[in-house]
Amino acid sequence: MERMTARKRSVWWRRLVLGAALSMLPGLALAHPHGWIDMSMRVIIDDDGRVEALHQRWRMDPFYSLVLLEELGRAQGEESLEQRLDLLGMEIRDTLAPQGYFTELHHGEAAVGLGEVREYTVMERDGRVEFIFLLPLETPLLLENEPLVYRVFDPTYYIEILHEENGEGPSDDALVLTGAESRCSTRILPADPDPAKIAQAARLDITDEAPDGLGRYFAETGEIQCDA
Amino acid sequence: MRRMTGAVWLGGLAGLFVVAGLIWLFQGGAQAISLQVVAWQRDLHRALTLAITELSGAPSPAAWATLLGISFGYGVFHAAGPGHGKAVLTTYLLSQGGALRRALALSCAASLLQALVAITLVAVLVHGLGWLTRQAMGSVVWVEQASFFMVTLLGLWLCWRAVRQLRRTPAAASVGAAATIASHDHEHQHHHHDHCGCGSAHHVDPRQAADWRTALATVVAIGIRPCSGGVLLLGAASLLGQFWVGVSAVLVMAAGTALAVSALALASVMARGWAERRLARQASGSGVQRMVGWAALAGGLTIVLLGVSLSVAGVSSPSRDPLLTPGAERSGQSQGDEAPAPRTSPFG
Repeated sequence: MERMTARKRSVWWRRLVLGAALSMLPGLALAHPHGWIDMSMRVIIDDDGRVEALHQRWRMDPFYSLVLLEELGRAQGEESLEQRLDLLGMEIRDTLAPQGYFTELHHGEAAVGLGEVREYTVMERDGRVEFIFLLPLETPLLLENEPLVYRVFDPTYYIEILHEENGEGPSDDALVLTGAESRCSTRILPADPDPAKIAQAARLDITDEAPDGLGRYFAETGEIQCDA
Repeated sequence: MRRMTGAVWLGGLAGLFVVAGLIWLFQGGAQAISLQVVAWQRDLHRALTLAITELSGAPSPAAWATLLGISFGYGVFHAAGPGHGKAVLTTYLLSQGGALRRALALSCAASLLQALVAITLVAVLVHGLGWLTRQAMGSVVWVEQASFFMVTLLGLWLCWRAVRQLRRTPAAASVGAAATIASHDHEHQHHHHDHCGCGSAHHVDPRQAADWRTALATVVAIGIRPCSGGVLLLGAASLLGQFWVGVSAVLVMAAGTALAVSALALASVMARGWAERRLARQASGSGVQRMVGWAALAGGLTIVLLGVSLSVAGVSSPSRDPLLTPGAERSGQSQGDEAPAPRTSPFG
């Protein structure tokens, strides 16, 4: 009897140590963002009332902008700053293209295919680098009664992408429609991350099995609803 | 007797439910807290960026106070958040033991070293060698890998020490319950008690067992890894002509981190002390010693596991910026798509 308790204690003690150490593993990948982008979205609607493209403007945070501008300023060669900004734009476009431009688009339940970005520009304004691009839909989409829903996020959550805000919430021009009729309305839903899902995503990241990273759970959702 | 067993079973079952419930509650709570910590870190990070930008424009005592206050808070929450350093340190203290003072010294030294590595990286690479800040940030990945490798080595070292200590510990020499199971459980140790059968003469104070060399290795293994955010902050501060503002911010941040990590370290040491006292009441000297040895081995193995899994996961960890680092899919494409030469980081 005495023997059993002693043995149990030894097992219990080992488990305590191991458990305490392992319990810290799941949180390891749960990192906070190290930069941010202020985004504004313009939904382009054609004359037939179909959504044609998403015109996005990304304003990089002051530090990231500083670091990028340092790089442009130090680059060797004869190009003007203008040309270097263009090159930077191309580089960003090329990096983002295989990642779907960090943009996820749904019409109702169905995923919407996105085309290639051909029009883009990079500029510097008030110390912030801005990346502006036109992301066309694969085929123009008639919304009818189903809402168009988008999320823009960096899956790794290294950079946080949120709509432009004015202190109280998204700015008025954070999400606008061009060429739209008045029967369409928009709204921006804040992220409402589920702690359990995030813990799971963080855990999966360690074994590199997570289909999509942490970023998605912290992304805002933009919604465009048109009445038929 | 039979009724007795039934009662024990029932009690055990009830206990199991209570424990399961507590774990469930704790996990939910921990998840909610960690989410909140991420939110605070994010806010503090933004505030810090803006505070340094503001300070470079109009330096004032108020701006300084704001900056240092935010840095301290950021340091605290950075430590309260995830990090392999804390996992390694906690495991080390839980499994290897150590006095309260040692735990405090370890926490402070590791936090300070982390800040000093970030400052040195920027001072040497950016100011000394003229690297771009973004290149210096890229180098963090390599320092990080070195850190993970050292964690693995540390774990192996601890395992080796634990095994050596276990082999030296008398298996069945002393009378008592613990010695009985020891010999029962580990027959392979039998041949040892001929030359080691000196009872508790070998008794080593577990506090001394964890010597300063492993403590130093722990500090270096976890402290050598700088936060890429710290490097970015220092680099950006330099670009604003405020390198020393950045240095002050990073050092104050380290103080905050040290505070939070110390709390965790003290908790680990006290948890271990409590477990040791309980154990001492149950078992004889050599029994306790064996279990301490097993705990040390388990701790070493856990640290190896941490080191290896971090090395594997670290490859895909988002420590470089996702806007300009070519993604995995892109690396297979032709070099013609790559960045123009001056922008290419020396680390690819």
